[in-house]
Amino acid sequence: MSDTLMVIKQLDVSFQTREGLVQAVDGATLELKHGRIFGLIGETGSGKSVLGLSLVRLLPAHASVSGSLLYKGKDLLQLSPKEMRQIRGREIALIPQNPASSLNPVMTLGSQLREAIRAYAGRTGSKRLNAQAAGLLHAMNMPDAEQQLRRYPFQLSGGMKQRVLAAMGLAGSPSLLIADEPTKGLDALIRVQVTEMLANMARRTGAALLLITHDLDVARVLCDEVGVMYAGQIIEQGPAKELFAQPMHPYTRGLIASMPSRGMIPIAGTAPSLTDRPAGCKFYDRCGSAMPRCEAEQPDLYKSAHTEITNKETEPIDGTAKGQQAAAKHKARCFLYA
Amino acid sequence: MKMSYRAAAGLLAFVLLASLLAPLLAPYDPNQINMAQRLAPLSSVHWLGTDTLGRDVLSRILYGGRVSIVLALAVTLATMLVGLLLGTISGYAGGWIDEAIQIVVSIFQGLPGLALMLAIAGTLGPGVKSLFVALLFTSWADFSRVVRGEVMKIREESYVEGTRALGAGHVYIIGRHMLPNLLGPLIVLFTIRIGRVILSIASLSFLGLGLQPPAADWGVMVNDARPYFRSYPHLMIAPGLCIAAVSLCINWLGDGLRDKLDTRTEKEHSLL
Amino acid sequence: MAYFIRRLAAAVPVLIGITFIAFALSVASPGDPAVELLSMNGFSQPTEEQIAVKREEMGLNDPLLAQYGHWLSKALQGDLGTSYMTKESVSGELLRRLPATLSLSLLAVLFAVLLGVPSGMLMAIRRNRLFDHIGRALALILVSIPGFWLAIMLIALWSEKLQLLPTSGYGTWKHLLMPAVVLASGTGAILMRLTRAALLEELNKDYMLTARAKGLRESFIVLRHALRNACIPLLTVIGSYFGAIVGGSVIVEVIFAVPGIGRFAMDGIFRRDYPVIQGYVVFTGLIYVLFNLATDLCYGLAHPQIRLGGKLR
Repeated sequence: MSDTLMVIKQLDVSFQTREGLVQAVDGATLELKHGRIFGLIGETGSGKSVLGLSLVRLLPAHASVSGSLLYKGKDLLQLSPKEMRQIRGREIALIPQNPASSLNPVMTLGSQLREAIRAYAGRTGSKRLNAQAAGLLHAMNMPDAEQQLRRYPFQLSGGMKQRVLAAMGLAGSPSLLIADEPTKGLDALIRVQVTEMLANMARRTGAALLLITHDLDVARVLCDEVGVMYAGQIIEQGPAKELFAQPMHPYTRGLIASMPSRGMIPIAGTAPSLTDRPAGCKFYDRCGSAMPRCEAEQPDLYKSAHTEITNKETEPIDGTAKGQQAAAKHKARCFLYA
Repeated sequence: MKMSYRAAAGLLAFVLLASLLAPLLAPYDPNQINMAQRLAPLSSVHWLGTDTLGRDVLSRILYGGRVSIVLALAVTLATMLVGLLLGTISGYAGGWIDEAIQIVVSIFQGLPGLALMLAIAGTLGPGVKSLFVALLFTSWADFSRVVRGEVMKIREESYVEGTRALGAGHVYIIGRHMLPNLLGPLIVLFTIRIGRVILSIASLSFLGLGLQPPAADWGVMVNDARPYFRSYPHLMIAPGLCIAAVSLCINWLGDGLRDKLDTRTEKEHSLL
Repeated sequence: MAYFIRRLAAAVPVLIGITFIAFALSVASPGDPAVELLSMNGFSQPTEEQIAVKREEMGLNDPLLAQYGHWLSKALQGDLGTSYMTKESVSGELLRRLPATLSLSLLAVLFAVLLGVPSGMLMAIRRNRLFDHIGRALALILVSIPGFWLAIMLIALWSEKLQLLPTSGYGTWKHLLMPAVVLASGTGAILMRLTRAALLEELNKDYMLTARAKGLRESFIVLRHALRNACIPLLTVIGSYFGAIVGGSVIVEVIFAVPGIGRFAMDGIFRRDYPVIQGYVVFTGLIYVLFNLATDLCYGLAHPQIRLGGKLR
């Protein structure tokens, strides 16, 4: 399919730490498409941020990554550091989490924006650079964009900083935008604004957006497709509407039940340690529907049995007939569907 | 513990043991003057030769660390107690008590250590007692600042608040919650500090303000050997190497302990 | 602006405290200043009466606090008393010797920065690689070597063996080279470690990820982003080291016969010239405080948040 931008296959990421080998991402497989929003949800520590960073190869040096990251047909893991640098920002941009600390405190917004633009556009006059920088901020609905360029990060609110970071991410007109919990630490109202802005931006420019979030509402409303991560694995993935309407995996069901709007029923127990993960299903200890085989055997991803019903509910967003295909893709890593 | 730290600990233990057992190991009385044997070269009789007064250098080297090391331990211990007391009061009490103590701390930190040390030791006259006072006065402030910082951090912890809410007394909270938490940073600071103090004692002794000749002390020995350095360099190299080795081992060990016990206060320590 | 005023205000009690300590030293000194002064004047054995008169004249019979007030008010006018040794004003003597100490200290700080900052940077960038290990070992050795011993070893090598540098004295840059190196060695080593730690801290900060995600070159990112932030804490440290070096220059001034305030103070100590010791404490304390203030100023200027009047944290 021509609208496929990036295919991630069997991605494993592990870290050698003092406490042992940490398996942060385990066999992640997903596809990112032009103009579509893929939401990656899960608790803190489930590996979703690591997955995001591994796509631009910006993990710390002690991480070991295997699998394949096919971006426009090239495997990013095979590129030289220099080639990879050319990809960053121009092709794949990252909007980091923690807006509060992700801007350099001693540089003005202008100089931080300009260096991004300069990196992609080559040499340009300072006037044009400034105009472009202001334009980017303006596109992010920043008031007084020109004045903002002379300000320092500490003079901005969290939401404003997030917009600046988003503007930087978009400076190179990337084809893929990875937004790593872009709304962490922001007020509820601004959270919705910022995420909607990103989503609109992606739809308008035809870029793919990988939205990493633990905000289930955001994922449900904005995303086309959603993957649920637990203990380093994508344990369920499928079209957003279907996944939220008919969650397959017991963990996803628990996660949805724990949403404030659904009664805030917490899932009992805690996630397993990433250094010493259980051999079988990672959710076994906390699962209400666990079977004997779940303990020792690792479940594969199994397709949903409800394909027929869900077909009608998931009207394709862009009007093309993708319903069948999308529904078929709803799958979960659980023996209930084996 | 890493290999290199074990090596440092081993070397230090060796030096300490040799100093401790000096009366048994030393072939001669370190202060026995023998003018007939002045500046004797290295030989099987005098392994490291003799100095200008015919004293056996090896014996003096073996004895030469005893006073400095014991004094350094005593001073650092006293410093730590003062710093612990004032730092805990300062950090725990807060308010005007804290401010008053902090002003005194900033005064003592506002003076270059060596200058004040010289002035105190110089004014009081040379000797162990004035060394002790000079070293104590110039290093308690750093200790109390670190302790205060830790206490303030711990005070805010929820478990301490919880204990307080249960009606626990101040002494109980300090003894039960704060002191055990302070142990790591204190051990690290103590170790690093001892290294500095040994260097300071040697420097003051070298300047003639610390231990006095004819004491068998490394710093004194370096100073004694200066006029003869050109022809008899070993007289100065040997005690100098001893000082450097002891302080190197201690600093090395301090680094290792810091990695192990306390990673938070790296900056504060390296400033000392 | 509020920041600078606050720093300035904080320096006042420190300065008062320093004068108090300097004054307390004379009180703690053994012997009677009147007797000391009289015997320095040439009287071999001053009579009881002479001592009593002199004590009254010097105000030694007043309450201590009054004596302190009297001494302080004179000190504030630049009068730190008269040296027993030279019969001249202590402040004049110290001021005359200050340039030697300051030029020595300045050169030492320069050396320390030249050694510490670039190597600390490289150590951080090449963390846990060979250069880092060598650098850390070197730093450990440098802080452990007693300065006086290093000084004599350097003299042995450069003056006596190679005959390239003068053993002692003051006058040309050659005279300052070795003393400055000795003074710089310990400080340079500490600076190495501090630079390494400061840069490592910055390298792990979130904004570095942002910069890397822009696809910028790593060397550019380190120099432009990380180093700039790491320099801010280093700046304050370097300033206070300068003060500490001024106070710590005594040993090298004695060994290399540099006619600075430290050597003068040592002479004062051995001749029991208490006004000189007092004056020395006041002087070094003052220099220390002034340099700390200057660094605070630099810190404020380098830190946009303080410069633009925002609240810190």
